[in-house]
Amino acid sequence: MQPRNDEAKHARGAFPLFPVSMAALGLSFLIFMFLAPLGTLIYSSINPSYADPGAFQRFYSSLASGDFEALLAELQLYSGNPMLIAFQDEVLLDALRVSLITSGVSSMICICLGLPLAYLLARYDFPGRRILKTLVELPMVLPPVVAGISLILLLGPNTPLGSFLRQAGWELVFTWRGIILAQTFVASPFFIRSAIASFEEVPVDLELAARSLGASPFKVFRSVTLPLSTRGLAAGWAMMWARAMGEFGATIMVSSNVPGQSYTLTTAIYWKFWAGGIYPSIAAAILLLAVSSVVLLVVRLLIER
Amino acid sequence: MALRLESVWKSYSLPTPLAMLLRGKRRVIQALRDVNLEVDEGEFFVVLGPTGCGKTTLLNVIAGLTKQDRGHVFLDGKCVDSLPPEKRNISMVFQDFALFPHMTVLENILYGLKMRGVRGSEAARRVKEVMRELGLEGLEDRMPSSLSGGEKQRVSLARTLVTEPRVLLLDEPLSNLDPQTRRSARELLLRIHRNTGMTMIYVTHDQVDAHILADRVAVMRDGAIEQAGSLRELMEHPQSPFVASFMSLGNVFSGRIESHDRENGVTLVSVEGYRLLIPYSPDLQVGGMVNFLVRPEDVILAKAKPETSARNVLEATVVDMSFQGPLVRVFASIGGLRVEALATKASVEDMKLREGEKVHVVFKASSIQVLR
Ligand SMILES: Nc1ncnc2c1ncn2[C@@H]1O[C@H](COP(=O)(O)OP(=O)(O)OP(=O)(O)O)[C@@H](O)[C@H]1O
Ligand SMILES: [Mg+2]
Repeated sequence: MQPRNDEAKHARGAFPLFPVSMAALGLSFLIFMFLAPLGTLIYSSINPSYADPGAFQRFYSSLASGDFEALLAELQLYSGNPMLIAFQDEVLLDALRVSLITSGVSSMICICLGLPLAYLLARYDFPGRRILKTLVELPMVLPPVVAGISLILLLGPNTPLGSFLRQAGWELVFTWRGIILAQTFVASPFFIRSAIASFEEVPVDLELAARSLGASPFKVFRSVTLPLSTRGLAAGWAMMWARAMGEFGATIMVSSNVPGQSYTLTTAIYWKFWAGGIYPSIAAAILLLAVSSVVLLVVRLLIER
Repeated sequence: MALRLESVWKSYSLPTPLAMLLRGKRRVIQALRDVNLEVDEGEFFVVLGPTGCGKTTLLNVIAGLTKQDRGHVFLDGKCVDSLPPEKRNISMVFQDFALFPHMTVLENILYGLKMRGVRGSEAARRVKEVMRELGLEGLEDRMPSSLSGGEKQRVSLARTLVTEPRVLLLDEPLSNLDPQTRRSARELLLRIHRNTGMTMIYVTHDQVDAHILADRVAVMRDGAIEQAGSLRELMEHPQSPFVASFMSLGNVFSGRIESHDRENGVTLVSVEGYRLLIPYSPDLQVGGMVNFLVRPEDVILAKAKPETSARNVLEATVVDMSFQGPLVRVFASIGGLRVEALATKASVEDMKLREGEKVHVVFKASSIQVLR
């Protein structure tokens, strides 16, 4: 038998074991962890009987008993695509508005205050820096409910700070302001982590060169550091915003759940589920999914231009 | 005097393990120790030293990019310790160029002018002049990532020159270039220095740079300046074994002082068991150690043993020979000692010298230079 050399092997196209096995593992992960659950959600929004097996039975029984009012309600519920229902549902649209505003405001707060913090942690060495870096990551691993409890304990109506704020007419907890606080608390690590990493990636030499060319620290930040970290900052901002948009655990604890006031899309999903079973909540879920994925995709396209 | 450093110290603290901190210790690196330096108006001053000796730290302190722990920096006689870098009018060319990657070549060059408030036709004139001088015409709209090493180096030079700084600092600007580009860059630097008369401080570990560029040189070691002066002073009167070996002046030996022979004006020294005669000097203490320099050009090679008493004669084996035009660098070993000699090609051929052969190494006591 002739010994085969490597070249002959390549020429005949040896089986590409490594890329194929990586693809197989990766794809099965993608399918089972993401595509399957999300796909089912979307499928059930098209096929009501999947999400609500009792629907047709109830439909027939109300028809048989002659309860036309119930029949009408059932018909209305299933008479169209959940997306259409969602866009006609005043409560859901209101919740979307509240979600967009609160997550927008909390992501702005995060940029205005989190950005300086990230710069500080990335550029300056001081005692306790590593402890602080861990501290700002803590909300990522903390159950959001705990964040809600902490905010209530700090700002609730019966606490010193809370009652003071209430007298000043600045109630935080159980209003939309509380939602902003909850979202900022839970979601800001996503931005801060990414901001620290992108600031650390800007070579210090570039900043020093700018200083020696006559730029003040602020001008260096504006003309060198910021432009060179825009991508990381934008990616971090998008993740943070999407997390705020999807924030539920802390929000449900600090919101009053009055529709239109402090009633976010995530809490709407929850209340719809409690009030009418899984089917009505699908519309809200789809709405949230659509808005968040569109924004994430747009930001990605802008960054990876 | 354009620039003066007075007793400057700088240390960096390193991350210290907790166990050490608890014992009240910290890990520090002394990057500069008691540095005193004077640079004259219009001088091309070269700081020479091995890697990690504190050259970059020295420039950073001068530019104000790093704050010294102790000591003062004077610019034109005025103390600038409290001035931030942007107010010092000292620009720096960085070791790895540090061009702004998100700006075009033109924007990079304009940056310093913009920050210093030079605008309009004056800015345009200066940029045009510098770009012509450095041969950068046509590269205006290129991004730094698309430039060759030599082009990057010229852009970073242009970026600092255009601001017309009071003092220009250069941090090993040629170390990332290939030998060909390096040669032409040296010529460019010399020409710019001649044309502008700018005060320049140039740090490098390459003594060729010092030979070609320097008006004056300082040799640095381990954060301290070992010796400063004109290149000729350093070559003729090195004051420490480090300077002598770093400048490749020749054989540096270290030995124990055995006895004096005042009559003949020599001192007997034992170096690794071999006895050598060096010039007598009253401050040599018997029993103490002494370092001295034997230059290769002062070493004579001979096949037969010469009959003389005032000379150091050692029997050695040739280990290596390197031919350099009409001269040959011969490396011979005597036990653990290694001696470098410079001979003419003709004499080496006369003696039929080969590697592995015996040869007598001869040098006069009077040609030996005692180092501190
Ligand atoms: N920011 C820093 N933190 C801690 N140590 C530092 C820092 N900068 C420099 N050092 C240390 O200080 C010493 C001097 O460094 P410096 O960069 O000045 O040397 P250098 O002569 O410029 O070296 P090279 O020729 O390699 O550029 C080195 O031991 C280095 O490790
Ligand atoms: Mg350096």
